[in-house]
Formats: sequence, C-alpha cells, structure tokens
Amino acid sequence: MNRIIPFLIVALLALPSISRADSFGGGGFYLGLNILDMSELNNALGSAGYSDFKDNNLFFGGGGYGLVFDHLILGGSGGAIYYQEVATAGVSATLRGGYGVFNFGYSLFRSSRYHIFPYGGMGGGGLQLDLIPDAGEIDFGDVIKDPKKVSVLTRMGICLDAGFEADFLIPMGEDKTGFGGFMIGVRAGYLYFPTNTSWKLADYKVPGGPDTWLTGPYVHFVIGGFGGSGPSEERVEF
Amino acid sequence: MSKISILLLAIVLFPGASFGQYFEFGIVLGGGVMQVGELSHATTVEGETIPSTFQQFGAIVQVSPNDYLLLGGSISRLVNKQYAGRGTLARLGGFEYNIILGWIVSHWMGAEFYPYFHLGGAKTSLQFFGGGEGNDFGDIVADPSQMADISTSDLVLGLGLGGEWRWDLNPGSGKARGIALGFRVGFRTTVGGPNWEMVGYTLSSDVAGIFKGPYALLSLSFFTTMSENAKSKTTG
Repeated sequence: MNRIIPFLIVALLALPSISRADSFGGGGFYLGLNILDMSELNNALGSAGYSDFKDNNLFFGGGGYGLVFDHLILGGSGGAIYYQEVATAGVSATLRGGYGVFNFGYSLFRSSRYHIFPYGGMGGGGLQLDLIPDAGEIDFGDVIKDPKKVSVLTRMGICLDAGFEADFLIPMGEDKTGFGGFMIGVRAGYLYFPTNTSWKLADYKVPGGPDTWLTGPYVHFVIGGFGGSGPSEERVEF
Repeated sequence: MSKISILLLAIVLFPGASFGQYFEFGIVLGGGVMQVGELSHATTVEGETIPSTFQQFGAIVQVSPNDYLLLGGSISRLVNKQYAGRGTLARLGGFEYNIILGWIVSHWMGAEFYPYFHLGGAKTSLQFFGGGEGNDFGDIVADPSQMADISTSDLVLGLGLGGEWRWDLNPGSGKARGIALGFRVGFRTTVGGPNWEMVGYTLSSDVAGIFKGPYALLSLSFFTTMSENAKSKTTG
C-alpha cells in the first residue's frame, strides 16, 4: 500500500491531461463537516457555567469554478456552519460562522467522467457569538426604553484555503456547441485564519477574547452540475 | 459644468449600441429616499431625526433572452447611518435583494429603455449600543445585557423605469462584449409586516421598516451577447 500511493501521485502528475473542450466549468451546493478547535471559547464561557460547543460543525455552502487556459482554475466557494447553541442558567449562547473565498487551482486530470484538481484560495469570514439572557416577553418599546438586552460579539478576518477536489461527471447531453450534466464530488482541505483580530461588540473592540476561528480541516460533498462548450470529442494534450 | 452635465453630454456625444440577446453582470451604486418617519419618531431623542436619504451599493445580473424581455436580479446594502437614539447611540442599516422583470419598449440615443417590476425582500437592521465600551470578553460573559440588535425582514414590491447604454469593446469578433452604463428610477414599498425581531426574541410593533419610497440607482456592468448573430442592431 505504501508503494501504491506515491506511484498514483506520480502517475497523476505525469499523465497528459485529457481535454474535452474550449471551455469547462462546474459548481454546486456543498454539504459537509468543518472541524474546529473550540477549546479556548469553551474555556472562556465555561467559567460562567456554559456547556461546551462541539468541534465538529455541519457546513452548508456552494461554489463553482471555470477552467481557463486549459489547466488554470478560477472560482469561488463559501458557506456557513450550522449554528450551535449552549446554555447556562438564564442565558443561551449561539455560535454561527461563515466564510467566502476566491479560489484558484490547477487541473491535474480531466476526462469525460472525472475531474481532479488541487486548489488554493483567499477570502474572508468570521464568527458571531450571541449571548441572550432570558428577559421573558419583551416588545419593541421595551427595547427602545432599555436597549441593554443582549450581546452580539463578532470576529472577522481574512482566511486562506487549500485542498483537493475530485468530481465525478455524469453527462446528460451534448451537441455540436456544448455539453453538460450532473456533477457529484468531494472537497477536502484546510481553512486557516492567519490574523489575530479582536472580537467586537457592535463597533467596540472587546479585549481578552478567545483565539477561536473557523481554522481547521474540512470535508465537503458537492452536488451540482457542469457544462462546457466546444467540440465534444476528447483530445489528448501533452 | 457639473459632473452630471458632463456625464449626460458624454452619453449624448458617444451613444452606445443596443443588442438582442445578451447577458451582463456588474456593480450597482445609488441612493434613495427611505421612509424613516415612524422609526425616527420611535427611536430618536427629542429634536433628533434620522436622515432619510441613503446610499446603497451592490451587484447586478441581467439577461435579455430576446429583443424585448429583460430578466435580472440585484442585491445591495445600505451604507449605515449613526444617530442619537434614546439614551444610546443607534446605527441603522439594511440590505435589499430582488428579481426584476422588464420589457424593453424603445431605443433612443443608442440606449434601450424599459419599464420594470421588481419583487424581493429587504432587511432593516438597527443596533442600539452604548456603555459597552471598555468591557473585556470576561465582563460581557458575566453580564451579557449590553446592547440591542433588532431587524425586520419584509417583502418588497416596486415599479420603475430603466435605461442602459452599451459599448462594444470587441468589435472585431462575432460576439459583442463590452461595458454597459445603466440607470433605474422607481418606487418601492413593503407588503405586510413589519416583522421585528432581536436575536432570541420576536418583538411586536407596528413601526415600519425603511424600504419605502422613491429611489435611483446607477449600474456599471460587463456584458456579452449570447450568440454571434446578436451583434449590434443600432449604433449611435
């Protein structure tokens, strides 16, 4: 097994690419898992008696890419983690997060059925932590009279993204000018927030906050479509 | 000579071209008069009012599948305004998204003009904060009652008139590709609601959101015709 993996990598890199068309693109919805390190946030909230946020976060999103100059990939992706809620006596805490990145990549292998490519990316994202004390029934007038009701803490920053995507292409039709079909795939990578920005309450910086980010590995499944224009017959390019 | 006069003169002197089937996307900039009266009365201190004019910016996508029909969508957000709320500082903002159905009725001075209808949603958001400065993360965790962050999300309908000038920057090839400068003026109003809420709470109130009234938008887009036979039909 240890010999097979390096052989496969070298074979993929050495293979001539099989190019189908003048243009090619694909995209769709993402559903997957982002694994975060919640330890610092859990420590910060734990002193007030909150239960712990989980490291495994469900992710919803979407994105797409287009192929330019045969091998270069340009695109974008983004989405949000499904919110988590924890509580302590009389207060609930909700955590949300999301990000979007511009992606670039290099098409390693593409046939009529498969497309495999590594990608990088850069963009922005952040977290939002809502601390919501239980104030019973309140209305608009109560909020205006006494606006001190909740805390909405946010942390925004730039992020870097790197990973691999493998797509399985299911052709649904083609003619002289183009082709298209369904696409299912998987993206596996790592998202990294390099900056150490402050948490904010509205416009005010909040010092002493936990260094928790959306940094971490992820695996997303892709469900979408692909399409292209140009001749439908395959050609091999060296 | 004002900048608007120079712009109008430039449009007249360098009229663009109109095309049959095209696709375009770009940025949208503009502003409008928002209906802030009820919100101003309900939330400001005595003698203060919320400015009723807003700037907004966003993105636009538009497609014309034939010579007459125009389908599009846009999303834009307001530039936030801060004002003196009751005993606190308030910040008002929001965003709007819609789909547009238009009908190209005339070509004049190299532009196409279309009345349109739009349907979408808008969110009016309002934050009240004050006294929260200086607290560290631990202080806020210990006492989370610091601010209010409320919003209402409403259905928005509108009517308007749009116009667009296009310049083909790719004259040597079969397809036309270039830039388009457009405008939209219209009137919008919310339907139903308001639906005020704060994180974790639903707030009963009749105070309306702000996405009502006249507006004007400018757009700058990139466009491409969808087939080679959709080259310029009229040129200035």
